[in-house]
Amino acid sequence: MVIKEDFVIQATVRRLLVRSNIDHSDLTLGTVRGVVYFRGIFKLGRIYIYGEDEKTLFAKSQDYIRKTLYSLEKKVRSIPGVRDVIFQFLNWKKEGGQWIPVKGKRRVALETPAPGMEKKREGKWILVEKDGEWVVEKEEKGEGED
Amino acid sequence: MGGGKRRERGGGGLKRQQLYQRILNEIEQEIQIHPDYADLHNQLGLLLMVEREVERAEGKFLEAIRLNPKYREAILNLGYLYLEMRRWRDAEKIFLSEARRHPKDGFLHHVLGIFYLQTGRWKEAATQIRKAIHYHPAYRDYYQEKGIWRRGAVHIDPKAKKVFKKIPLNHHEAQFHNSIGLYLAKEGKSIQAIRELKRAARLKPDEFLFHANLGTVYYHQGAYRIAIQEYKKALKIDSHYGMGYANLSYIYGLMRRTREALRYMEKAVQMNPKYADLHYNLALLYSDKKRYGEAISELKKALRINPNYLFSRINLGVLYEDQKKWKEAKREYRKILQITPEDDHVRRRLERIS
Repeated sequence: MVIKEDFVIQATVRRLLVRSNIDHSDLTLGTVRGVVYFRGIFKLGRIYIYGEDEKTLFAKSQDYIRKTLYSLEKKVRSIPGVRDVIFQFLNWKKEGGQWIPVKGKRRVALETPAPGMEKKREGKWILVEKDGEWVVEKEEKGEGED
Repeated sequence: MGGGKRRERGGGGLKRQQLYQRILNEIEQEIQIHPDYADLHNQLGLLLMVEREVERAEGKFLEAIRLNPKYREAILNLGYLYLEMRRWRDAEKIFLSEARRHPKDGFLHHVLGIFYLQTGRWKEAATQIRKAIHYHPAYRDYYQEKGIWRRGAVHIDPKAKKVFKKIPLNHHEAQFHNSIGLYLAKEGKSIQAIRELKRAARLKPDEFLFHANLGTVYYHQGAYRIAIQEYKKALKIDSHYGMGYANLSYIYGLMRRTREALRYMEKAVQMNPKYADLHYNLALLYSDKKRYGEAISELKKALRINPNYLFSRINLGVLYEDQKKWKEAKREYRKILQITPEDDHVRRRLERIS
């Protein structure tokens, strides 16, 4: 039996997304009479590629994202009741059957660890309550303290 | 108390230590990628806290709260850390403040009760224990078992200080297993994740979050019936857990039990009336059941919350078409094409009715 309910398709695609390594925090999803829509920014939860120069690293990560996009499309199309899939990503588009990154969005596609990026805060920090809100601020040292 | 001394946890010491170390490394790497994700700092703080690296843990919780000052879990974790560090004044400040914000949270009164028992402040302990039992009756059995609640009143024996010495540690351990469970789930290792989350739920059975997380992992794994059981347990503990109703609805949807899916989505919308996505999903359910009037009403609500919610507009256009309301359908399609002129599906629909 072919599923015809949009809600069932929507729930199936939702589960498919959360089980994948796709970061769906900037994605929205809709189903209209069996046509599945994706909108937003397509990102992966994590890509760890090491030991290459930046250019190769970038190419590899793009390739990885591209494969994930093909796989996503295939999986969604295989859901019973799905008639079509429409991708309206801001950073990736499909042209002539090929996934290509949209220019100017490179920072979205490349997410690799950059050692030393973590912010370091000097000194002793404490939690204080101000006007009913919690605020983290630097501890004021009293007279005679180190 | 300081860093370095690692606690042995039950079952497979070396393997667990390796797992812990791997997760710790990965979270540290993720923090390098996303230094502004409060959740990652909180997770790392928990891992460090359970491993007694208290100063580093404190730094991580503070960072999480700095990034998101309303991050209640990180605030409470910091409170527990201060309890463990015996920084009583700091811990008391956090828990009292949180209890003022959430006066009906029995667990907070329970923690404060234990805290006052540990510090020998019997009168304050009695007040908090009474409140804990009042707001969360499940604690009555707990205190009865400890001999503190007898014939409807609190009776504190000075020996109670020793009895309650270890209780807050349960929270750390439980949070630790929960955190590891979530991490493993994210990696797709659902069997291991479930094992960790079950440990967490055993240590702190009245924590709705652990059952909710178990529900989510079972749901993603495809074990729908157990997922439903866990979500229901979570909702029994905290009936205000709105997303629990939504998740139950999605699961029933996957099981094609749309009657139950509709019932739970209605409840989810009732609990979260400002969440456009839930109105949209409820509209899909109404539309599937051919209750078009209610579907249109929900789609309009979603659009009032988020006027750029394009799918709501598309569905609305299609429903107007079904009802032969061509003018309204065209209006919706034109609005969509103003935002996404490349949408051929919508363009074709518009051309067909123009």
